[in-house]
Amino acid sequence: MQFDTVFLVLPGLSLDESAGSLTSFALRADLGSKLEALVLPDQGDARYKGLDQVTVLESQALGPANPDGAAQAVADYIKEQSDALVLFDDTRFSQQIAVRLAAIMGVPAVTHVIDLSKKASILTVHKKVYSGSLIQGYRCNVPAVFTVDLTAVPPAERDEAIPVIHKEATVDDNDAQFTLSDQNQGPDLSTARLVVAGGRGLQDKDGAALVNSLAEQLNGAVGASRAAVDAGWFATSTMVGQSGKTVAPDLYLAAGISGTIQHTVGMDKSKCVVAINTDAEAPIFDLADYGLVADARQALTELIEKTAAPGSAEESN
Amino acid sequence: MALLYTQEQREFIRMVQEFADQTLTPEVVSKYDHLGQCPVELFKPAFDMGLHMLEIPEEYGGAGLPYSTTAMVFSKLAEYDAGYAITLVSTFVALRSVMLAGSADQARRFADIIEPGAFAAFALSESDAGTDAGSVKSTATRDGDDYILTGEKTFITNGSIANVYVGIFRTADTGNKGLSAFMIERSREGISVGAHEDKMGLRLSDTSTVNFDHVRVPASNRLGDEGAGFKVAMNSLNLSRAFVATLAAGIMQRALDESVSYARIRSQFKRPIIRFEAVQEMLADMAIALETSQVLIHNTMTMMDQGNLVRKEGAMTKTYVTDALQRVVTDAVQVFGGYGVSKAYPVEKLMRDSKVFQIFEGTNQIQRVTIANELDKEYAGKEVGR
Amino acid sequence: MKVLVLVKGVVDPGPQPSLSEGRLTSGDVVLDHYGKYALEAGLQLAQDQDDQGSVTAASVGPDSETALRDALALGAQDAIEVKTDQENAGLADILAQAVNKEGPFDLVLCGDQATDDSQGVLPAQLAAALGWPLVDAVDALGFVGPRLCYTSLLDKGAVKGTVQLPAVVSVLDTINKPRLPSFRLKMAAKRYQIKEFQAESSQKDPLEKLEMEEVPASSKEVIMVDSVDDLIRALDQVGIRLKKE
Repeated sequence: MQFDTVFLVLPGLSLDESAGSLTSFALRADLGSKLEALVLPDQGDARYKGLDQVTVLESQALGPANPDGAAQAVADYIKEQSDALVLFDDTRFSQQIAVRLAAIMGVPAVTHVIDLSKKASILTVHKKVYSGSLIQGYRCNVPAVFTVDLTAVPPAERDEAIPVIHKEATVDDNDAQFTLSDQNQGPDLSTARLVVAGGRGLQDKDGAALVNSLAEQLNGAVGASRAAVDAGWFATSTMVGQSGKTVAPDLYLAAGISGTIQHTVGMDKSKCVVAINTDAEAPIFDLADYGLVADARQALTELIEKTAAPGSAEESN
Repeated sequence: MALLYTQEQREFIRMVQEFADQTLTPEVVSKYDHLGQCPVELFKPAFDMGLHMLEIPEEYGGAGLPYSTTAMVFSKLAEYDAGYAITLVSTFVALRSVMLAGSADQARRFADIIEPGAFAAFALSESDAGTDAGSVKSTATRDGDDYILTGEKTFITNGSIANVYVGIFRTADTGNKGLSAFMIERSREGISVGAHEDKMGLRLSDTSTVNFDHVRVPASNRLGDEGAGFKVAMNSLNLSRAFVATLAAGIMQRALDESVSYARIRSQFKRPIIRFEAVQEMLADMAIALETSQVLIHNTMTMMDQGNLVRKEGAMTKTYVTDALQRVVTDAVQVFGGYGVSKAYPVEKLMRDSKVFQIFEGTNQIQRVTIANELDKEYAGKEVGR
Repeated sequence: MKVLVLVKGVVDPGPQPSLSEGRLTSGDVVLDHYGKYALEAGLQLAQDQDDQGSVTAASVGPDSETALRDALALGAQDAIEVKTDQENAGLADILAQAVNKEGPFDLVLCGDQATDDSQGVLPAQLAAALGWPLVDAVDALGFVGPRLCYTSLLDKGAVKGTVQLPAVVSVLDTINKPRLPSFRLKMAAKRYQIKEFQAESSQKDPLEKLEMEEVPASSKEVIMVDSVDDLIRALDQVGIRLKKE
C-alpha cells in the first residue's frame, strides 16, 4: 500500500515547534509520499522544508473546545485521498482530534509513537508502555493515524517557498468554552530551556517556595513530581511525568525527587540532569549527569544564594 | 522469608500497605509521636476499609478473615506505627471478647456501635490491680434491674476515644470469682476521662484513666453471669496476647529493613559498614529473631484458627517475640551509630515503642508462670524415665 | 442512573520489569491504574444520586476477572466479563455489543489510557460504535441539575462544557482520589457470581502487536559532587552558567 499523501495535522494550541519537528520526524521515516501539513486555525506558520504543501482549514468553529469539529473537518478534507496516513503531535488537544479522526475514518490509531518505519506495504511503529519502562511495537498494513512523541526531535529547516492554500471548512460548533490557563511569569514549562523541579524531599510548602524562587532567579520554569502536586505544594500544570508534561530542557534540576519511572518518563530526554536527594540509592541518580546527596531545601537555599546576581539584595526569607 | 503467603494474603497485605503509605507517612507519624497524641481523624480511612473488624464474622459486619491472615495485615501495619495498629487491635479484641462471653444480642449491639467507625476499650487495670487482676476494686452494685458502676480504671488503651468499653467490676467480695464483666456505652452518664499518659513509646496510642462515677447500666449489659468477669478478662487476654506479638514482629521487620538499608549506604573507612563483621553479626541476629518470630506467630495463629485456646502457646509467643524484639531494636540503634539516637532517624522511635511489649498484656514474668503452670498440668500423670 | 465503568486487568511489572521472549515474566495482575479513577468517578456520581445510582464494572480480556473482583471490592454493584472466541477482535465493537445488550446505561466511564499500552484510543472508537458523544481528558465531572458538566484539561488551558447522556466519558488520573477497597467488600467480591456476556464476531483489529523490548539502559555515569559550590563549578565547566556575572 502506497500512501498518496502523508498528512501532518497541526491543530491550534500545538507548540510552535510542532510543525517543524513533525516534519522532520516524517522525513526521517522516509515514507516516500507527498507530505502535506494541515493547519487548523491559530497555529501559525508551518512552512518547513520537505513539505509539498501547507493547507490551512478555516472555520470559526475550529477552536480548542471543539475536537469533534476539528476531527470532522480533517476527515472531510482527507476523504478524497485514498490510503492516507495521518500524523499528529501528542499534546492533549491533538490526541483528542487524532482518536476521533481514527474512529470516523474507521482506521487504527497508535499514540505516543517514538519511531515509524515503512517496509513494502507494512508500517512499523514503537511506543513506550508500562509507565515508560518497556517498548511495544505494532505493525499494520492499512491506513492509520499516529500521534508522535516529538520530545527532543529537532525541527526541520524553514522554507518560505512552500505553497500555502486556504480552504473553508464546514464545521459543527459546540457549546463548550476554552479558557487559557493563567500564565505564570517565566517560560512555559513545555518549552523552557531550564527547569527547576521539586518532589517530596522538599517536605512542605516552604520547600516548594524555594523551587519557585530558584526557577525565577535562573529564568527557568517550575516543575514538580506527582507526589509534590498531590501534597498541594505545586499546581497540576507544573507536573512532569506520565500524568503531566514531558519536557526536554537543556538543564533539569530535580530537587528532592526520588525518580520513579512515572516521573522520569517525562524528563529523561533532558540534555543535562542534576539530581539532589538525601538518598544515595534514589533511582533519579541513574539518569542524572550530576548528583548531590544533600537535603533539597538546604541545597536550594544555597543555590539561590550563590547564583544571585552580584550586588542584589539578600533573600528576604 | 519465613512465611509462604497465599495470593489472597498478598493482596490483603498490599491493601494495607497502600493505605498506610498514604495515611501513615513518616512525617505524619513523627508529628504525632512528638505530640504524644492519637490521630483520631486518621482512622476514618481505616474504618472505611474495615481494618477494625477484619477477623470479626461477616454477620456482624466484619470481613471474617482467619486470625493467621489478620495477623499478617496487622504486622504490616505495625511496620508503619505500632501505636496506630494497637488502637485497632484493642477495638476488635474487645468486640471479640463480647462475642465469646456475651449473648448474641450483646455482640450485635456492641458490633453496631463499632462497625460504622468507632473505638472500643478493655477496662480492667487499676492503680492497684495490674498483674494481680483479681484485686480489682471498682464495684458494680445491683440496683433493681440495673448495676451502678463505680471506680477508676488506669492505663486503658483507647480510654479517652472509645465509644464503648468492656469493663471488669467487682460484684462480690470473693476474690477472682467476685468479678463481673459489663459492656458500657460511652454515652452513659458518669463516665469521665482523666489523665492521658505521656508515654515513652506507642505515643500514637491513647492510654488514659477512665473514671466511672456511679454509672448506671442495665443488667442486660452484663456479659455472662455474675462472677464470670475474671474468666472474660483472661479469655480476652489470650487473644490480644498473640496479636501484640504480631505487632512486635512488625516493629522487628521495620528495624531490620532500616538497619540493612542504612548499613549498605553508610560508609566508613571507604566501605559500606555492612562489610564489617561486627555489623554483619548484628544484622544476622536480627534476621534470625524476625524469622523465628514470624514462624512462631503463624503457628500460634493457625492453632487459634482451629479453635485452640492457646493458653501456653500464646504466652510463649508473646514472651519470645517481645523479648527478642528488645535485642533487635537496641541493635538497630547501634547499627545507625550516632544517628541512631537522633529523632531525625526512624530507629530511636522503634526502641521506645518496644519496651512496653514486655510489660502489657501480661508481663513476660507472669507469662513464664503461665507457661510453667501449663507444663505442670501437661505432665501430670505422665511417667518419664526409661 | 446506571453507570458502566470499563476496567482492565493489567500486569504490574514492578520497578524492574523482566521480559522473556518479549513477554512480561514478573508481576501480579492488578486493576489498571487509570480504571481506578474512572471507577471512583462512577461511584461518586452514583452515590450523589442516592439510591437511584448504580455502577457496573465491565472488562474484556484474559485478566478480566481480577480487575472485576477488585472493582467489586471498591464498591461496584455488578460485574460483567465480556467474552469473545475471536482472535484479535475489535474491542470497541464487542464492548458496544455488551453496552447495548446489558444496558440501558446512561454513562460509560473509562480511564484515558491503560498502563499496558498507553493508547487512549478505545473511548473514541467505542463512542463511534455506540453513536454516543465522547468527552475526554476529563479532570472534573458532576451533575448540575439534570446536566452532566465536565472540565477537560488540555496542555495550555481547560475546556468546560456539558454533555447529553448517554455519553462516553474518559477521565484523567488527576480527576479524583480513588477510595481504598474495603476488606469486607473484598471478601464478598470473591464470592460474587460475575456475569458473562458472549459477544458475537466483529471486525478484526488490524493492528498487530509485536514483542516488547526493554528500554535501552542509560549509558550515563552520574558524576557525584560534594557540595553546591562543586556543582556550580562542574556545570560551569560544561557551559551551563548558573551564576550571573
